[in-house]
Amino acid sequence: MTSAALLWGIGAFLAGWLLHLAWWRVRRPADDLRALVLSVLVLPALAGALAAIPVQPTLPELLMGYGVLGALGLAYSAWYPAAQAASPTMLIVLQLGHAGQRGLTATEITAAFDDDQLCRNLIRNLVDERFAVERNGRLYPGPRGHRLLRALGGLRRCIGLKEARG
Amino acid sequence: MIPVVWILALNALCVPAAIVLQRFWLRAHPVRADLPAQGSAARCTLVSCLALWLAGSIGGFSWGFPALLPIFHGIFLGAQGLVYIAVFCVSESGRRYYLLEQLDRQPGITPEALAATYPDRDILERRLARLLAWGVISRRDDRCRLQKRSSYYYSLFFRLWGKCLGFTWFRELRAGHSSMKK
Repeated sequence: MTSAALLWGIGAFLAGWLLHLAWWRVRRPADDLRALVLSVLVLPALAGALAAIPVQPTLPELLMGYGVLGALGLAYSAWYPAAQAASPTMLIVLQLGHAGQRGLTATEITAAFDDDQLCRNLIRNLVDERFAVERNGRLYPGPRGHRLLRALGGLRRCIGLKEARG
Repeated sequence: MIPVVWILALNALCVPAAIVLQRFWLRAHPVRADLPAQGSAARCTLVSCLALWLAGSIGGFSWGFPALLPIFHGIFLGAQGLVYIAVFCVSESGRRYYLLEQLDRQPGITPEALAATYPDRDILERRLARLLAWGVISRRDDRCRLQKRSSYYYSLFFRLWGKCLGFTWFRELRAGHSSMKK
């Protein structure tokens, strides 16, 4: 458990993040989730393994290095949707922050949003990211969507919560 | 290998401990039906992570484990905590999960009908009511004003993150938004 393992994990994550940044700036992938996992987790892990060959790390060092990469990559991926999609809460806070002490009326706040874009954009994202499938103009939950519903539904039952509040 | 096993064993407890704590917390302090329970997730995760980090670090130190152990342990626990809070928020107040739930209840629905189940007006009114209840904003003389600057900085951070990646969601506000900046 040395600082080399720590630096290796952080370095591999940063390299993956730069790759992710370049990829998104050149052309944003339609299936964000798969591309994100590939760029911040899978490719840095493979490149890091090649870089570690000449150093010949011990097994604990290798495990810790991969642990750091995995931890940073997963935390980044989990919060990525907040940067990816327009959160209405954040947009409201940004509007009010810009307005300063003058403030805004509720009508002014809602009038600043494009009609129906908050929901329609997300429905498109659900199909692009294969959480939902579209057949003959109708929507169905996709396998990925079913898995998400099962996993999060299970979590909510464990905590004792019922319906999502949206 | 013993320090690695020690860290892994304690890390495996992080999320289950947060879930159990949150279940008990919500029983003792039920949230209002119209408010999401994000606060309980954040509190319980923080308690779980801190308790396990202290146990791991003090135990490791007294057994003469490497000095860097608390740093590795902190990174792993911190990441799990962040993942748990993000995942909980997705299920609790995320529009995507809400729409997926609606889709699961009514498979074969058209995109227009699905969008109609959660109109923009409802989304915005629900968010405004939550921000008021949380004290992030206040309403006086029919005007809403920001009360917690931290929420604004947090939103600016995500806007910057989105901007770096080339997203333009912050431009989705109508032209009226630019006049509000003045």
